[in-house]
Amino acid sequence: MLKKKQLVDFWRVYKQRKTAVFGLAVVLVFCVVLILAPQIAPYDPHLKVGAVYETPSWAHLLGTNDVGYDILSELIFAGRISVMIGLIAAGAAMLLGTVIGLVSGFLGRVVDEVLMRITDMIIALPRLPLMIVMAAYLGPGMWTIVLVYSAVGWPSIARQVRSQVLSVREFTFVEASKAIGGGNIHIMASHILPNVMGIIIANAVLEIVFAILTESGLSFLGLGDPTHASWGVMLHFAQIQGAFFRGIWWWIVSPGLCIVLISSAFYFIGTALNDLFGLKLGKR
Amino acid sequence: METVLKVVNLRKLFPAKKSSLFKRKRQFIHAVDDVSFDIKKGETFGIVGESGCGKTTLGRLILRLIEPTSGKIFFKDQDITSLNRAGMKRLRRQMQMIFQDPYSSLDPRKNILNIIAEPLQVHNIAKNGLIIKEKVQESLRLVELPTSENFLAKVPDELSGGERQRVGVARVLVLGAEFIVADEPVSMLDASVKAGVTSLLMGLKQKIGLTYIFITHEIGLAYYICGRIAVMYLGKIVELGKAEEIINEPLHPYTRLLMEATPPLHPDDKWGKKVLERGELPFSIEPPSGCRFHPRCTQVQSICEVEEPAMIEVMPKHYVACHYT
Amino acid sequence: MSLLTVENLRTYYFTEKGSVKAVDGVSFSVEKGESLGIAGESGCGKSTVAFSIMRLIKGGRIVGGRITLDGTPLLNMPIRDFRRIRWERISLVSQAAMGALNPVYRIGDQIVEAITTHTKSKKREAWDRAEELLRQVGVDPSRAKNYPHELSGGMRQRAMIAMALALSPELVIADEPTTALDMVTQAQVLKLTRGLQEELNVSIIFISHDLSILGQACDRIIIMYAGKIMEMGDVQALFREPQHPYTKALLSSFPDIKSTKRTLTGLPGSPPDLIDPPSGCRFHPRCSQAQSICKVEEPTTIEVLPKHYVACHQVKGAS
Repeated sequence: MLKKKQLVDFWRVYKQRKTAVFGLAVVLVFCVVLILAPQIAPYDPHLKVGAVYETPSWAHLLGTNDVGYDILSELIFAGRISVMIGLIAAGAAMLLGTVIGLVSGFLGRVVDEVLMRITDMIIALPRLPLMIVMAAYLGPGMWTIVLVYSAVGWPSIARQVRSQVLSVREFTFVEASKAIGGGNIHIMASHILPNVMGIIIANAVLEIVFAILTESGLSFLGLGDPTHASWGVMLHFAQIQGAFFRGIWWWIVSPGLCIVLISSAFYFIGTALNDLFGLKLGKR
Repeated sequence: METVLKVVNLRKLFPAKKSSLFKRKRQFIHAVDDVSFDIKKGETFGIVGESGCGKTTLGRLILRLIEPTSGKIFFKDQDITSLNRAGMKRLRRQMQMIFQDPYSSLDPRKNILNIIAEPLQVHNIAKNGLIIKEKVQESLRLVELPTSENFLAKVPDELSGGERQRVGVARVLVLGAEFIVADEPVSMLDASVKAGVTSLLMGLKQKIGLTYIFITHEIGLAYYICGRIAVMYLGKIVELGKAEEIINEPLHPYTRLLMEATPPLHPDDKWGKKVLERGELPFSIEPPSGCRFHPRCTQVQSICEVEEPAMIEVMPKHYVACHYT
Repeated sequence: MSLLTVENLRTYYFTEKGSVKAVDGVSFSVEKGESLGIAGESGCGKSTVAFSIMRLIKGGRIVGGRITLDGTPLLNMPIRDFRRIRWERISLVSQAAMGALNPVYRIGDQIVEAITTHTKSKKREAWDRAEELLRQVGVDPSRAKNYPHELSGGMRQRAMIAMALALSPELVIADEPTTALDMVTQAQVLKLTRGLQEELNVSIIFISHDLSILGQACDRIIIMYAGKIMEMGDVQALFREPQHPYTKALLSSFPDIKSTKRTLTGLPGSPPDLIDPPSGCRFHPRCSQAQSICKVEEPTTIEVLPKHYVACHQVKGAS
């Protein structure tokens, strides 16, 4: 469906945005490092390999933590968790939101009313406190975070998809498909969905940002999974052990910086995609 | 000649959004109001009128893309007014629509092959990719477009307005439809391109034996290609008969006004002198009482404000809805 | 002396893909009190000519040529001075641009604003003038208190014409003033413009894709194609004896209810890409009479009959 020419054109416009290119580069670097974690990390992250709270040295570039684990190795493996949870949580929210937005926008009337009222109700509630309460109730863990995030995150996506669907629905080719004999499912899958893909993809990337930040935040508060440390969990332990007061800055700055970097990177990519796809749909 | 389509007392009301919750009587827009006619096989039947007269709504009612509020529709003697979805789907292989806007009637994310093949896929005809391609190419040949791989891979953005309309026609022909509602198929095309697509449509009629309903606001076009026409005003048919007769000797006051207002192609000092101050199409939701045209009519009588005129056969096969004729 | 002369006007738009040569060497003049029609299909450059005269080009530039009003050159004039010309001496009626109505202000207020921005009139005087203008265009003066959405399409169109006439300009450019109007209103607006032209002795440039409208509303007519003028002449002569192959094809694409039916011929293909236009005569790819010279050399404009100009190698009278 995607022609080579379209990709080439797309890249030409995309690379005009320096921030977007930077973001893409950062993401790629992270991907490489995280995928090759076992090869790149100098030590096993769960092994005591040094004294506690060793300051950064050539042996341990980021020092060690309260139990003597190498922080750099921990950081790299934690990255896998952070990014993975971010991707899965964002993906789940996107999937749920897209399906609901699609159905609601296309079928309209009663279905639309009902779904939108539910959406409104959830949006009205404050996101973070709600997630904290839900996570506390469900107990700490990776899947808790994914569940909590998608439960609270789908409404805003649904709304955006729905509004896109409403405008695509007015195009005559939708009516033409109906005149040919196409049923609702056929039209939604074959005509509406491809035409809202652009917005979906752009939003998906931005969702990843929020998902990573949320996961980090919830983990920092202690609601994450301590057995699968993410950057947020690292920060949580750093805080519990009083690293802030003891001046053990390397333990705090490293996960913090990673969170900021990857979030900004995805953010730049996401906003660029948003602009680009927004333009495309308006084109005649 | 057999009757292909028969429409009886067809009516479509749309709720006017301006009615508040507290009004006792809900207001409706009478988009199509008690319309009846029939169409014989092989005809090119024109529905002519200005914007707001209901012609577009009528076209969609006939194909049941919109549901009628009341009245009946018969296709080849079968009552299709309340036909279920499956039945309607089967019928759609025979009755199809060509749309007005070449820029929004083709899915921009699909290539030409997929666009024309869609009816085949929806109706599960031919699973084999090669057979599908062949049928698509056959259709393209009928509309005088290229059949190369290169062309099949193009997307609508790469085609001109005229080419897009031809693709729209090809899409309709691929299933072998014989009854086609063409809703202003050339009104958005440039003048030099219009003629090409119009002669294509007429040529196809001869070649394959099609029956057309041609909806248009361009009277000149209707004059050239339609056998019979129905002139619509505010949801009603005011005159029905042979195109040439109606255009050269209009009987209904509205039709007469319309013909006077249409400029001839060549400069004519005498044109338009009678048009003067006749007011414009009514602005409100509620149609005028009695005959809808009475506020603008020069021959209005007291009966016209009160009673709606019925369609009377004033000349052989020439019907007019007017108290005065 | 002509009221307006346009000499070798060239206006290009600049896009990512290259420069679009929308108007590429157009010359014509408008006399006092005459109505000149510019006809052509989409992309031929007719609207660009209008916006060039008004110096309202966005996303592009006038790259060459001269425009004079009563002998005074317009293109080099500092914009501050040109603003006095705009609306006071040349005005525009257009759905797309400054002639359009603002939905949040009343009709009367908009006409008043046009007047008070350019003259020292007081509001009261300006309002009276606005009502007078509305009467002239056939709208009940009390409607000046209405908002655009409270008026019908035809009345809005007339209000726009009133606004264009507010400062008694010598030239009014009307860009597709009758699209989206129903037939009867269209006829009324055409009659109105003719009437105003005679009453006020104002010159009109009338732009449309519809030849039948131009036939009724204009004294002379220009046929444009792909940014160039193909034929230009008196409207009666041009319709009766079109010279250029494009004009002939265009005329035969329009149906005529006042004459006997004939076949509607058209043209194969579509108007060309103006970023990379065809070599030689821009019409040659679609022309049934094209010869080898047409592909190579651009035809010059020749006066083949008195005051009747054609740009075509194949027309008798051309070298």
